[in-house]
Amino acid sequence: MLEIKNVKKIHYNKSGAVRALNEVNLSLGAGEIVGLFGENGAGKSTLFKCILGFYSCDGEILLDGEKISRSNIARFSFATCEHSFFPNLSPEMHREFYQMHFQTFREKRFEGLMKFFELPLNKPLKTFSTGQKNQFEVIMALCQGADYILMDEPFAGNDVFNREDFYKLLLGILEPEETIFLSTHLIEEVEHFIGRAVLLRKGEIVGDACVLALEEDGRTLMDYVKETYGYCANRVSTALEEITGKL
Amino acid sequence: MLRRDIIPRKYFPPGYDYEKETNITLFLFGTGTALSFQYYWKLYRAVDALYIHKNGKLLLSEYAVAPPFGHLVSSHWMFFAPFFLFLLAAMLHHYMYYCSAGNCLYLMRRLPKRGALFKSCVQAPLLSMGAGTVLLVFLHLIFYIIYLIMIPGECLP
Repeated sequence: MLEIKNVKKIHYNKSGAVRALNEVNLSLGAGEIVGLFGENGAGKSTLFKCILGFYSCDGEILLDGEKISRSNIARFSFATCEHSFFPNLSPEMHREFYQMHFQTFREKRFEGLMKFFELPLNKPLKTFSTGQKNQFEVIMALCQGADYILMDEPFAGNDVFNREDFYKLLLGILEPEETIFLSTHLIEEVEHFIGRAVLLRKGEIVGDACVLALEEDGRTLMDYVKETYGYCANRVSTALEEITGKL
Repeated sequence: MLRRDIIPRKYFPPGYDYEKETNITLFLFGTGTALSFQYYWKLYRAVDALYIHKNGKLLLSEYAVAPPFGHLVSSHWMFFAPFFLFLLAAMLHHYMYYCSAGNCLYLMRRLPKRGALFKSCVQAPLLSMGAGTVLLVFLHLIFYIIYLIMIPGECLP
């Protein structure tokens, strides 16, 4: 289980201190598929980077009761829209690199996903399109052999059919103990793929709901998100009225 | 191919332009070595100063003492300083590469092997420094042997 306890993170920039995360408490059990939602700057990426130790933070982050260190960091993989691969290397070279560093590398899954996305094995990644780069980033996160797969807006730049297929494929290939923690803005798209939704706003968790329970209540995930964020339904018509002067 | 194999690709960060760095390293070491050959000129002058011309004959001066070997090679560190400084800068450049080439620093920082990131930044420059130092010692050993051959025993300091 991944436990995030009272995590606080302050970013310092030219305009001063900005609280990126404030008293974040969250637990992720093995096998869960959790969506992390929030507007830009809500702290989603910061939370991932704190979990992985890229950012220092206050509070405690434990994996099965132990702090994240060299001994258990390989239990996490990370797919980010910022891309964490080597642009000059080919997928084949990445495979060799991962095999060398991660004993749990899933060879069969790698081959299957590369084939599914029709990605060339021997071309440098810098020659790939943005969509292909995203696909490759996610493939490596899924093939590392990690128990906790963190994905930070991994599909930005991919077309809708591609994403749809990918969700289906993902649900089919995941082992029961694999946990997905996915940050995205595509709420409606991932609704039937995730089991739980966590809502982040200005660095604080403002919602945590089971998607099945929402469905039983007759609500969609989008309804829940709008309610939680206090979305004003007539916002657009009010703005149009002000701009155009028409009722 | 021999040039490329001096420091193999696996000792550099993945995807790094190691050939360019190897070329500069070799150039700086070669330049240092070429400049250090002026030792022969210094040695020639030191040997020449030990002798006097008398009646068309070359005679060893009485009480003549040759300059110490260390004196003849004292400026050599300057010739190799760019080589070592470049390799120090290369270590930093390797780290910068991880930050600039996408965000592969994220991947490097997630590697389970302790010190993997640090090792990948420093190992090639350190190997080059080690190889350079061995070659330098070897070069100066040869210089010293030539010094012992060229300077008459009674004139050694």
